Amino acid sequence: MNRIGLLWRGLAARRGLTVLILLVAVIAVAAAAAGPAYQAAARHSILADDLHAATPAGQLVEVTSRGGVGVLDQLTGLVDQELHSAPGADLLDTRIRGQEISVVPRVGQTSLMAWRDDLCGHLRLVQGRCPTAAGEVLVSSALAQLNHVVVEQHLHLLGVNRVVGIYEPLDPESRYWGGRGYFPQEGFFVNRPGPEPVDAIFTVPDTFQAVASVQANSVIDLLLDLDAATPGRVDDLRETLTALTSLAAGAGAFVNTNIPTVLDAATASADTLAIPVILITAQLLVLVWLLLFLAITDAAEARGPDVALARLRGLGGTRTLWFGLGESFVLLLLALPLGIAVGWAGMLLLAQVALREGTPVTVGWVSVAAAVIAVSGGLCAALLGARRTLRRSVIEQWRRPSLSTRRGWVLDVAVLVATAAALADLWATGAVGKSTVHPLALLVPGLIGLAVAVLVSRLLPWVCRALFGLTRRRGGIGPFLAVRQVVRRPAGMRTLIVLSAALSLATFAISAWTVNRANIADVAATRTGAAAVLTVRAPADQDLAAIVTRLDPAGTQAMAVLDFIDTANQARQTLAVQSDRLARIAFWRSDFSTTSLAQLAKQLHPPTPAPIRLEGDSLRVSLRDVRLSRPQLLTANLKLPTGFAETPLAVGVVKPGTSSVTVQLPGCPCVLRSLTLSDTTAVSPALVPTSFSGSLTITGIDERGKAGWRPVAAGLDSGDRWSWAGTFGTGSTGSAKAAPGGLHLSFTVPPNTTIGWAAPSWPVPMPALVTPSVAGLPRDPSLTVAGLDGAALPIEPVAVVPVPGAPDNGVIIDQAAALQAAFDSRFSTQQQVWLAPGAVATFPDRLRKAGVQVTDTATTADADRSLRQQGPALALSLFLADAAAAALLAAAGGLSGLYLSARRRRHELAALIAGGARRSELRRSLLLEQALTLGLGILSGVGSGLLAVWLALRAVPQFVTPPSAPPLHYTPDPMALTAALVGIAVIVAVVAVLGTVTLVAGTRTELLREEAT
Amino acid sequence: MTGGPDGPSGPASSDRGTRAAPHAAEADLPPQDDAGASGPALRCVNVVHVYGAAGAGVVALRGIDLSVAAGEMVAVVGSSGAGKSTLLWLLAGLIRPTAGRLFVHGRALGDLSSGDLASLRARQVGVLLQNPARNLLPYGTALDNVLFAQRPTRRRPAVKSARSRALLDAVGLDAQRDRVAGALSGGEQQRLGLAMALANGPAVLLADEPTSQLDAASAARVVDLLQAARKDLGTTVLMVTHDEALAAQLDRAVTIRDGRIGAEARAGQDYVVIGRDGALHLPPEVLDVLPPGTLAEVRRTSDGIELRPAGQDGDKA
Repeated sequence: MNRIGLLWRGLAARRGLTVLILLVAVIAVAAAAAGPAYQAAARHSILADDLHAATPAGQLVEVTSRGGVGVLDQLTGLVDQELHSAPGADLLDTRIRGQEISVVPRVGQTSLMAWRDDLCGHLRLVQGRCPTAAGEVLVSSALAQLNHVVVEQHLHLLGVNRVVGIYEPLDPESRYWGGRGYFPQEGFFVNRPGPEPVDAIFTVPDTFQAVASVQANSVIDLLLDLDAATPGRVDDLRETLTALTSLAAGAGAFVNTNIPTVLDAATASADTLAIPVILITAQLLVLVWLLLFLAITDAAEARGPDVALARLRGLGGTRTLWFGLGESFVLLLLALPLGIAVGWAGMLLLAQVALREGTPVTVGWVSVAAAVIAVSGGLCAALLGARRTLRRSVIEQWRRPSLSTRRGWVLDVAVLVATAAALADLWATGAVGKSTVHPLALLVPGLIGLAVAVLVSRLLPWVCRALFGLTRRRGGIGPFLAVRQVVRRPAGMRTLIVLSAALSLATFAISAWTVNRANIADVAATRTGAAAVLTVRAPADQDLAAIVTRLDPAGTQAMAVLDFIDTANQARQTLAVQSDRLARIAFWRSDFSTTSLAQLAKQLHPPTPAPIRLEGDSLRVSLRDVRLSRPQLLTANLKLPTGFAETPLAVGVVKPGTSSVTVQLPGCPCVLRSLTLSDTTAVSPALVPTSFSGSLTITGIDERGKAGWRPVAAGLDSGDRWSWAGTFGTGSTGSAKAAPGGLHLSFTVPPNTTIGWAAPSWPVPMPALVTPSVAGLPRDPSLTVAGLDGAALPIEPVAVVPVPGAPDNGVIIDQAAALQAAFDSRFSTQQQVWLAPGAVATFPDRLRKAGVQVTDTATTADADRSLRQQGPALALSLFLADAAAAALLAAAGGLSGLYLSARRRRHELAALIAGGARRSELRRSLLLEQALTLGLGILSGVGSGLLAVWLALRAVPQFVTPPSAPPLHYTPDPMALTAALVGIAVIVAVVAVLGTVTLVAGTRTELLREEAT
Repeated sequence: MTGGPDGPSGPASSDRGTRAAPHAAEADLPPQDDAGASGPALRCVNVVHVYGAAGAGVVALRGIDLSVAAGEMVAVVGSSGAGKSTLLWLLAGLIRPTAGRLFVHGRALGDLSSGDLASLRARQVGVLLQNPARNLLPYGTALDNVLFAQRPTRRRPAVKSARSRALLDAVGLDAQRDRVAGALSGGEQQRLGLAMALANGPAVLLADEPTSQLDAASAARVVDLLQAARKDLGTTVLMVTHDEALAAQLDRAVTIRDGRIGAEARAGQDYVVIGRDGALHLPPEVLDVLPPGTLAEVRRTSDGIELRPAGQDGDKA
């Protein structure tokens, strides 16, 4: 007990050093424990984020099989069999069974008839009731309105079915529905041409069983417990899915799920944390160990007399060691639980800021092992720091050990050589000086910081020595003492090294973090396209662009966009926008192009002629000067209101000389897009001439309305409305010349060539903003992308830029022109409304009031948050937190060290005061000494940190997958950097001044009577 | 003065004698020479010590021959820099001589390792320093300090505690045993230091100017305690002092001059000591007759030798 009491009294007697050592040791342990804890928590957060953000396919397992009665039971048995003993069975505990079959509610429509477990619990009944008996069905209110269906009406779907209720889905996006296209009318578009998809028709299982011949899709959806699917359960889940898939395949069933892809993406993102966490933690640990070494060296010096006494009293070697280091060892051991607790608390705080809400932060065995390593390192630092004191003889101890002014060169040279070698190695790997992303770039600031610090610590005493003469002659006692103290105390240089290295890390960390945040913001904004992008569904009989224009006439808040995703070409997006609003709504960075977005937007919609509209019931084409060597059928190619391609309308056989041909118009109003000529009968290949030429003049195109025949404004007599649209190739030529007498058409073509002339009402090729991936496509003969109807659309790049909304692979074209060029795009494009920042809060409600359904909202803020949850960004957050702690700790350690060193010189100060030195001069001396050491430490640290930024910031990983666009910036935020570093410098300066003033004020000449310690 | 519950301690009745088996550390020490059991407690044979590198060093001792019997209390006097403290450190095993041999109760210190020397200081040689604050741990209580001094031993805690209280009582610090040592007066600290030095019943106590920083009353008290230790415990005391009056009170007072023992006082009589090489240090009071540098004649007489300046009795140099 005496020993413990003596130990605590010793700690209390040197409480300044005690607190410093304990603080540094706690930080060391906290840093070591925090790294693995943060990594584990981040892994959890990333997985949870990815799972919760995944589409339904990424949140459930669909087991399906097709067949008649009994298939569902077989499927159920199969699932039961597999999940009975599977390790991940509890994660897929929730199952929803169902069946579905395609039905045709009306000609031109397609729908699904389906039943699912607990169906009515997920629907809101607008009228009627849930079906209970075979043959009873529910239809959606949208379908009921479209097809004029009422309750009690009978429909011929799966046999004869009676409508017993009208429903609206409670949550169409819920994964309960399995991500199937049950609600296309609610705005969930189905990207396929064909019959109009309408909402599902729901029924009960008996309806399917009543029809023996029905071959339905039987489905069991296994919903993943998203909160229970933690990183520790991923292997169980994968194993279960693999086993289920092979079992199903053996039974003729199919397992569909995107869960493995989600898991892979989450794992890839989390894996990007592993190396950075190790590098960041290791650098911080080395720095803190160095600080611990300094603090324990000071503590050992302070205990020198105690150690001498112990030796004098006959304590042997090992027991003297324990006695001399006992206090430090106790502090280090105490730091183990404290440090783990502090590390855990620190990570809790960081998790609240950086990770998904509710992410658990736990201290696992890895954290504890890391903490033990940190303590072990601290013990080694303690042994190294105290060895000189412990080995010093008793007599030397009493003589007040000489303060060596010379530091060995060996260690410094070793550090510099090792640093140079490491940097050379990093250069070779691409982590330095190049743009190759490499996690080892995170080592650069520590290496450069340490090397620069060692060099500066050599330079400062040399400079101070050079000032000896000057300070002897001028400046008073303050500078005289200051430069000499700097030279005679190597501990000051060690403090400088630690502070410099810590600030190098801090400078780099702040720079990397601000750069990452800025790049994340730009990538998020570019990928989203605007502050917010709403996925909407306008009423079928209304034009979305017209609604948006009505709600926002000035064009400063919103822009209608149609988005076609070309799944056959790496999901290339064709974004058809209201180009007059593009510059005010879409995200743009001035370095995207040398031309402003406003200027580029103007080029997207050059003046084009109006479409040739036909509204009558008949069409007449008048011809003269027809010169054709064989009879040709004149065909008018029309764009009807519905339909996914041109509708050819045979007008009539063209006779030589002057004539006219007439035909009835089907389903107009419509648009006349082109005229073609073709052989009226098949011609034997042996008789086909090698070249076929001809010419004719169209003198008039008329349509018959209620008031009789009237001419159509077809541009026959002037302008260049019409152009050759036949097949381009060797020997194939044609022309169209408008003149007062009519449109003169001529051609010369080889066999099997299309003969035609078109009158497009859109630019050909279509001007477009394109991404580099599109610009690099082969021209055959021009660039083509998918139009709004999926058909090939020739385009001409106006600029190659990171296209807002589709920066990796997409184009922006004018919406009005795109709609002219496309056929029916209602079911192939996604309707969107892009919002400016000021409209995000209010415009969605205005759209809803205008009858527009808003089915999804994507914001730049959400995308930003999602990118900040990725592994690389999380690693940089940890780097920032650790580096900030290291910088503050190094500053505190440096200040404490200098203060304690000055305090040990109290007798010198007292002697100087007794000898007549003014306290103001002594304050000046101490402040100058601290300014030289700490100030230079700060400046060299910041400088080396900026050097590291210049060399290696480009190589620091910022994203799991480096984005192809927009171009990333690497300039740190000067305001944030300056504020942080000035903050640290101010704190250091204030504490230094306060400590110095207090110390000098408290120095009394009576101290000279006491033994100097 | 008693040593505690184990009875009086000293070379005959120290922990060594009362223990059933010899202490392991003691068992590791080289055996005493043949003169150990009854020979001098301290013996120096032509001890030379040089500080610093050869050719640039300072010769502190130039061949010290000294023998101190067990139980004697001897003062070592001399001017500053004469080598007094050096002799003490050599005898304490804190430094090793450049040449010569030292013996403590027959054990040659040169044959002992660092660990053996530490063990020697733990059990046989106590040291009391000039600066009272250096003799103790200032942040520990008086009791803590005496217990601390017993750390090298393997006594049971209860025995250590009882012994500590008895020692504190013996030095008059019983009432201050729970006071922090740093808060004691100089005299009290020196008495505490003495208690610590005697904590393990050493056969020899080396005191380096133990009273120089004390007032007269405290100094007298310390000297009384030293006398009591010698008388009651049989401790051999070798004390460096500048105080000639104090030196005169002791059994012997050896004077070190210029690294050699030049004179000795016994029972009030001053003697010069003939050096190993025949060198002789004349006392200062006769240097007016034979100033340094003078040629002198040495003549044997029937009962001794005669020393006269050269040229006297008609003989010219």
